Amino acid sequence: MAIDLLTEIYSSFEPFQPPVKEAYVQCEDVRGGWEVVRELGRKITRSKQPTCQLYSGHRGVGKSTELLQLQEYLVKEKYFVVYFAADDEDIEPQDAEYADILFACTRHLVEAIELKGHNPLLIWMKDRWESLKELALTDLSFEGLSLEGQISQFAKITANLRATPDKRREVRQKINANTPSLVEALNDFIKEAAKTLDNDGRGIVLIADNLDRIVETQEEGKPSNYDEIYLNRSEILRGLACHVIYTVPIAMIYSGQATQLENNYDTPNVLPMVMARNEDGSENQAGLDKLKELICRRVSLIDQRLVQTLEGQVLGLDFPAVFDSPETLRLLCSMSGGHVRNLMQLIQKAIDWTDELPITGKAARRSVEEIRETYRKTVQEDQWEVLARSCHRREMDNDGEHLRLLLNRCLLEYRYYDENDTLQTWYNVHPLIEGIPRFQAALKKIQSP
Amino acid sequence: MNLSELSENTAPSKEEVYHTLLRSLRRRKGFGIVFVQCSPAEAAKLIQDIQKDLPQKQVGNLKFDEPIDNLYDLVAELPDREDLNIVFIEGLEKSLEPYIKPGYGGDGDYYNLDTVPTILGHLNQRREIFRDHFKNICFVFFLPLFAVKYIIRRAPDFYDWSAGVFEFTTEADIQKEDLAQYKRVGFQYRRQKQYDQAIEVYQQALLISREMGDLRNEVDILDSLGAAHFRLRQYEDAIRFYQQSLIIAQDIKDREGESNALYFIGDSYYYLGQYEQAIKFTQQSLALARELNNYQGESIALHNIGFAYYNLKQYPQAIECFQKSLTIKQEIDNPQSESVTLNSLGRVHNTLGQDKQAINYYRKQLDVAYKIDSHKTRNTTTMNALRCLGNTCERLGNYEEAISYYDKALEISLDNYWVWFDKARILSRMGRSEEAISSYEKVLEIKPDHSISHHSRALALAGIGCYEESIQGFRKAIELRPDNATSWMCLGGSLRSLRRYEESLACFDKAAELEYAWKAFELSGRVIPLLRLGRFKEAFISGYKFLLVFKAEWGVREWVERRVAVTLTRLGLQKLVPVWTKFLQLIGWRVKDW
Repeated sequence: MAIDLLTEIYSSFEPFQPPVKEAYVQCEDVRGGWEVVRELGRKITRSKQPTCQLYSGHRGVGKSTELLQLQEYLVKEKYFVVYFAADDEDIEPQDAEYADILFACTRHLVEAIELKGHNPLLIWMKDRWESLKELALTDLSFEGLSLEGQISQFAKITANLRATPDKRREVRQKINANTPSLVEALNDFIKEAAKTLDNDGRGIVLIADNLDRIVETQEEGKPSNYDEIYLNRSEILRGLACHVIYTVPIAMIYSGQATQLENNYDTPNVLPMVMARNEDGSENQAGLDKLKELICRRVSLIDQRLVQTLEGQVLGLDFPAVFDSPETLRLLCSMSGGHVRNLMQLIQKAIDWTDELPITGKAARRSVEEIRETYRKTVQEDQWEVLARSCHRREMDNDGEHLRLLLNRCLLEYRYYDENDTLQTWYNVHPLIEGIPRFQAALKKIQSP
Repeated sequence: MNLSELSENTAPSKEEVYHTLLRSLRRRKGFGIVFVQCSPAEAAKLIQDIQKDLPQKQVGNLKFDEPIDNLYDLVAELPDREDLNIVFIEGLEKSLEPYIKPGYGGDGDYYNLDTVPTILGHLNQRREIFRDHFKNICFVFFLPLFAVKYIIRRAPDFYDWSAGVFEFTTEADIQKEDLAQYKRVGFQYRRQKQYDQAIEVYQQALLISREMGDLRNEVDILDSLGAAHFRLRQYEDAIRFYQQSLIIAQDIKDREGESNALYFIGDSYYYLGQYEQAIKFTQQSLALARELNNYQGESIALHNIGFAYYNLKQYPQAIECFQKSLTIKQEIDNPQSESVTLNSLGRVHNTLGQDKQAINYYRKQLDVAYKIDSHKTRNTTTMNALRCLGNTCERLGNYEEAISYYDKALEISLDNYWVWFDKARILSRMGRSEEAISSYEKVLEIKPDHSISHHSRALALAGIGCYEESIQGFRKAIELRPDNATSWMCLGGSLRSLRRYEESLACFDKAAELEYAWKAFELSGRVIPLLRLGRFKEAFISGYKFLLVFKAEWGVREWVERRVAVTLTRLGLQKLVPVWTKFLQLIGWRVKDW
């Protein structure tokens, strides 16, 4: 019986599943007032012109969860939402260029919206079929294909684009040459599509998730692929005739080009960490309570009684406790640094060290140790000092070194509104890193005059 | 409660970790990602154990010996994949190995921005598809530490979905093992004299020892790096490493390490020609060696200091050091080392012009050489002493005695071209041209491209009137060293003797063009051909100019010595040659080495 309950609890903290709708917790207050509808949604609903927004946040902080929330809101507001999580069918993460992203957007739009009559994209394809069919690896004539078959050619071309790395450069040139006309055709398509939507439909919103997973690569003497995609080619990404939200790597938001990014797009939106601690290092009660609520909501879906026994055995209730004491739960919450996925991982690890409920303080400490080990492996030998300095100053520089640390969550960003309603942003190392002796040694070195 | 919760040092036992892994796998209801950090051998055993302990789970295996680019398709092709609960994956590290480059940056170049291993990009971008299409499968990756690190750093999104790493080998175990392995391999390379490879390996070892904070090993490795660079004659690099080693050795009070580093820093400066620095460091090493009663080290340091003084032309200090070194070497009864110092003493006295004293030392060296155990070293030492004796006797004009030493050397080995060469040189000085020619030919049998022997043999041939053959010889010498003005001069001479005046003039001009010092000889050499060609005015001008620029030290003495000796021999008056040589000694014509 106990084992089964444990298994259920374990499963409800899978780090790879966004929570079911019932388990969604609004974290606005402890995320520096960040709320997805206000941050991203309103801009769309209030604008008559197409908008293009960049959205970012730490990996695993809850970005996709919030986007799904947004989608629900927008659908309620009568928008037609095309959400896609770019996978490696769409882009080659190590070698992605703006054209790949454009093509991925095109593909998902054309697949999601079925135009019965005039389809500008299919015409675009037809007009270029002679030079493109090679990319689709087919000899068939375009007219000979069924409508579905014609639409599927977009997917085929993207797939072949990434399947033939040797030819990729050559193929790209071909597509790049056709980009302006593709953007035009895509926009015509969007306009056509808008007509077919319900009368009270307010337009199309394209949400491209997972683009932040493109790996940063940089060859000597060239701009990184990030710069190339988001800055040098921004007019194309911005040029679509519908509302668009792109996820971007968090490092991009903070890079030296941040100002340029703001010039090219609206101010990028960053989903902040849950503030589980304060700038002075003390615990933030509201933040910890929010994290507790997150856990509570998930276990409540298994059995309502678990809510009562969450922090220990309850007198008169013959039901096992989840955690042996409030301290145990608190330890896991505070060690997550306010990072939701880390919290899930900590709980799962603690359960791995547990034979039967409750999850003990010892199991929690073990879990902390093991996840800490991952952070220790993440940090490169020459990064300890950088981390120590950031911890000391509660700040970070916008150089590559810090950005990488931000990207792999060794450095965390927090936001809050102070008593004057001014947004304050501060940084600190992940609490798990604080306990690593190597870090403490580096910190001591920094602090000693 | 302290937020930082300092790391505890009580690592769980393997047993505990295994049970945790079992619990994790047992509870998992479907998709999942699990990493197990262990060696390949342990992986095989763990897989067996897990299958035994979790009989209710359907398992599949994927084992790779080669790099792969796409894991998804391989899983999709598993025959019974719909029924599987767990898929064990071994050997994924093979796909990462080609991307590892050695480097200085922190810990190798794992986190290299210019490349991402294809497989990691694949996993990172496809994690959703793995989750959505393989709902029933928990993937268990068995990987070595470096691969785990690689995935954490370069496929962070994929890793982020995992249930973490179960560690069966701790980093410390692995580091220890790696370090020992690197040191072994480095040592092998050094033994095979592949110093570049050795350096690469030691660099890796250095990083590990630093990460481990193992100072004892760090000193060792720094020394090895220094030694390898030293062997490659990269003395600045050698100094850099020995200096690092020195600092740590001082820190951990490793006096021997300190002395050793100081010694090699000194030696490196010696080879860089910075003799004052060499003396400074070697003296520090000397002081430590004395403190540690390391007589061997003391004697060698003294010897090296002596050599530095020798190069600074401070001969009395050099002799003093060599003498002290010699005394210790005699006490500790190391004949090989002793012979080296005796030889050095000989050389100082040679330099000071005290050839008789020098001969004494070389004779002592010869005596000591007999005591050396190793056959090979004994022979080398003996030959070396004999050669020095021969050369010194030659300087003293005792040609017969010199020849006897060379002959002794030839008794030991006929394969050393320089013995034949030295002997040939003396023979030609004595006017024994035919014998000289055959000795030079011996040299050329052993070393066919020895240009000086080609030249000297040709010169001896010219001396006995074989001009045609001598012309061939000079041409061969010129072919090997086209910028050698001497050979052009002599070729001109031989051509002149055959009355080929135009060609002869061209050779003299070429010689003068190559080396200004030959201007005088060009001028003198031109006289006869110009006269014969009837260009009297030019001949007169050349002759006059020659008298103006001639300087006596231009090797003309050797030429006069040899010409007279050759003539005497030709007239059957060989017995007069030593008288002639003695006469030259008497009037102070110190005959230099040719």
